[in-house]
Amino acid sequence: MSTTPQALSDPSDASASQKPRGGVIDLDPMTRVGGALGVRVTTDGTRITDAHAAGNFFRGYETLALKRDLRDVMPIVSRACGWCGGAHMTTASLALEMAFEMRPPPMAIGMRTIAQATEAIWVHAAHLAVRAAPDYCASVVAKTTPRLWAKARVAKAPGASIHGYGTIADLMEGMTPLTGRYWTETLPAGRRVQEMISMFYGKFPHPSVAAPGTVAATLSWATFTEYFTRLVASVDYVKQVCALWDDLIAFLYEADERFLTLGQRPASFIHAGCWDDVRSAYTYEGLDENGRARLAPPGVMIDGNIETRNLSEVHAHITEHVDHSFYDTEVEGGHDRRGDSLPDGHPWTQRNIARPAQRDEQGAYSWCAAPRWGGHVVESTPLGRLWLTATRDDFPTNDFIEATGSSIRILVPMNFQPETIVEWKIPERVNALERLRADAYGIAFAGLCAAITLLKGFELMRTGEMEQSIPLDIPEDETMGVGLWETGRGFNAHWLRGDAGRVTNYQIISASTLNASPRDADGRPGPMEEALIDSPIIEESSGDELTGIDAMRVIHSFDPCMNCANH
Amino acid sequence: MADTAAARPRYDPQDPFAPTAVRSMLQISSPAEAGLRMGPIEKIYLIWLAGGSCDGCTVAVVAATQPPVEKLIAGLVPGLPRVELIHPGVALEAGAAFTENLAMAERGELDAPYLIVWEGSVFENDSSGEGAFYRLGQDRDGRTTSSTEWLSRLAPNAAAVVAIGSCAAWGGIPAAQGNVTGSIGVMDFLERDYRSALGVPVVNIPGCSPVGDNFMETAAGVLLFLQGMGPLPEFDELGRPVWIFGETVHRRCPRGGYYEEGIFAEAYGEKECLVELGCWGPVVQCNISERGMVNGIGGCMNIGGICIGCTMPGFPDKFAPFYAVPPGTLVSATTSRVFGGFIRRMRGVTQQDKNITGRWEGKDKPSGWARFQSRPTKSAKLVHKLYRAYQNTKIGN
Repeated sequence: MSTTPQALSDPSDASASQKPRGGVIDLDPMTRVGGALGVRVTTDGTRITDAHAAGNFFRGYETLALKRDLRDVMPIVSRACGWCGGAHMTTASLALEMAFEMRPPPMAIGMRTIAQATEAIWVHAAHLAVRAAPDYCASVVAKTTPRLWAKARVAKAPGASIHGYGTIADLMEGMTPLTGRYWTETLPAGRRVQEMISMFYGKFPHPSVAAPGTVAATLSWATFTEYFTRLVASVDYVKQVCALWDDLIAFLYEADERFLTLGQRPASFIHAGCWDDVRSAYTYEGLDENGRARLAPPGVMIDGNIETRNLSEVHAHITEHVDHSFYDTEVEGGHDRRGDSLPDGHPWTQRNIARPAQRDEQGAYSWCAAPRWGGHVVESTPLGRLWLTATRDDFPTNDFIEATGSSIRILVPMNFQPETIVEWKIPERVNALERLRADAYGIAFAGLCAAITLLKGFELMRTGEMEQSIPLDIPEDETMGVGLWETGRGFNAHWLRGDAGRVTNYQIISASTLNASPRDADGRPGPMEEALIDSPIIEESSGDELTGIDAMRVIHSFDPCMNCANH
Repeated sequence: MADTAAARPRYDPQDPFAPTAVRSMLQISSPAEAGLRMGPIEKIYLIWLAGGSCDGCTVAVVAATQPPVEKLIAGLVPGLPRVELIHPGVALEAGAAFTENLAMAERGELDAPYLIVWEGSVFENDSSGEGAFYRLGQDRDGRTTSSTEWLSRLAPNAAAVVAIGSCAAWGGIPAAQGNVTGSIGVMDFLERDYRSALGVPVVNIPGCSPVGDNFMETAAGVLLFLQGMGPLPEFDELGRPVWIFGETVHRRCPRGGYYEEGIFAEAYGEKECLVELGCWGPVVQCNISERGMVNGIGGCMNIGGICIGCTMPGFPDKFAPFYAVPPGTLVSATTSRVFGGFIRRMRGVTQQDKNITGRWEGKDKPSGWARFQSRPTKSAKLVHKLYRAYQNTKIGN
């Protein structure tokens, strides 16, 4: 990394040279993220004192959607992200279903839920192995923290019988990018998941088998059984990944307690929920009811307190700031679908106009906008999703998943390895490692949510409810819709306005728009910046020698995807 | 600051955060790998750059199996050189150490030839990094650079430039109506006279996203040729691999038989031909209906989706609105309904005869599943008789 030493102390002073020196670490371009991101952090040698995260690219999907036939926005906006194109397509579909007042048949909703939960498996698994794990691989740990590496070499991995790594050092060897066992085993496992998604969506990325309110896959017995055999073939991988991350995280906490505060920030989350019940109807008036029936629930949590679980309230208080982003805004109406007024800066009331400029940390520095909820800085990660799930008392009755109030118990079925109950517990703090642990358990959660819905699909097939589509009636007059949904990495929403069958405004906010956002109107840092600031420097080098690994670990814990974020 | 060798930072090849290209120079082929190599090239750098991309082509390539990417990287595909991947999505190093890989390629310091794979549209006016739509690192004097600028700098000495996906090949969605970024395709940007160091124009693997194996197969084919083993792969006038994009997706479509017999789906989810729902397959050059999407699984029409023309230069605007019936369908589908409908009925008559064993002639079929009469109508009987008589005249011919 290129580092610029700061004159914090005179290096010729013998006593001062003992103290770690800081500097500016310029992680621009940041690697192992979706799209283009540049992060600049300032450190004093023991902790990070300042951080700026800059979305480094822009394509203009909100403008590309304009003036198009309303029906066409799905295949257009799905291209905003190649990691979770299905989620963007589904979100667009929900916005259209609300605008067209359509009620998709149960089988279409069921197939969508299965495909979407499967897409989440892929997003979690790929993120953990390809983007996050290399930060903890053997060569990196040995180079940046020799003392930690010495401990890892003698630390037995408690889950060795499940994941097959004898010591923590073995596990770290496995995390080596391109050649490590974890990396090379995840690619074929991920391919199987990509096959599963393709069965319902035709294509992955960017489904070709969806229209508003419809999943167009021609269903046969083979569809569900071929999917089912691959799901079963994936369960051992799920057990291994949970055990592997549990072992790594336990070791790191034990070996150096600074990992507890690495990437820490308040427990403030926003989630829209996803994976609909087959009988749900998505309407503006019925948002709360629809949200409650979702397998992953909506909600907002501020400092560990749940502010709301009503999807309508999650939606109503969102505002988007562009004070430090390369945009101007234009006001566009001030009311919601019912005619009620919305707060200034709500995405239904404005549009963003690109204004390219030089990067200026006092002024505009990012292609990412800064969404807030009710003025609060909120993140959206699998950690928040699991937290809101664990604390709900209305989780639908099912055979696999139980929300206990303080944990989620997930029954992972037998394959070559025995049936296992994996339990995710609400952590004491929100930090980098807990975000990654939630990603790992998120695979189990998403996988079994898919299984729950698959059983409902079989049931619909038995009872003959095989309708998958309904005719489209395109409203000729002015219309509005909002799709509230989630990708694997968190919140996703599309706001639509249409007139005469064409799009007149389209606004997108995704999980990474929230997480990687720059400062807002009040100068408050975005969640990732907030997590970086005050985070400890654990690596043993200092000054010029700083590699920035601790900042990288914090950044990767958010799985930032600037494709979604900047669109 | 002048970019002199003395002013450059020195990277330790043992440092995991050193540029991939610096670390790669230490790497010696394993005996297994050396045993598999069958040509003069031991290693090749694959520099993956992006413009107006969504990472979808990267995701598609991860799904490829012909060969899988992890085998190519490890140098374990017989005949092929080891591929040293320089991709921002997988690199361990970040910041200046990552862009140093690109600078080394520009200065000619790599120890092997390099390919450029470009994903996403090219932001034509991003010649400088300031106010760019894609900022990619800085030069040593602190000036911000754009990804477009790196393409200009690296293309002349690249062994080949491959544009992956429709955005890179033609401009794609970022270049469609509402284009605010000056998006164009790689060919448009490098222009007609561009030739790589090996004399090759831009190779295009379109699709949104493309089938991962279409890319891998083409890349492997080119590498085999360079190793002196394979034939030179054939490309069409737009730089597309002919064996992949030379046919329409309709010709290989599993629903094509329904079209021939004039049977069309009326709603999504039905199993018949999709042209009346808006499928553009009969004119679109693509192989997904034959190859599937991942490992032979999926594919648009295979599963039930209409073709929206995502591999074509006219995508998306010339295929929109996607969910309306293509105008040409009125003529072709009506023709197919009339003639195909007649053929289908004739086939039905013959099929009836072929569903009867010799023993069942004139009796009920001995099936417990349903009550079938094996007694065709008199006219059908006559047709069967004539048909078989004609069939028998073919003996020995």
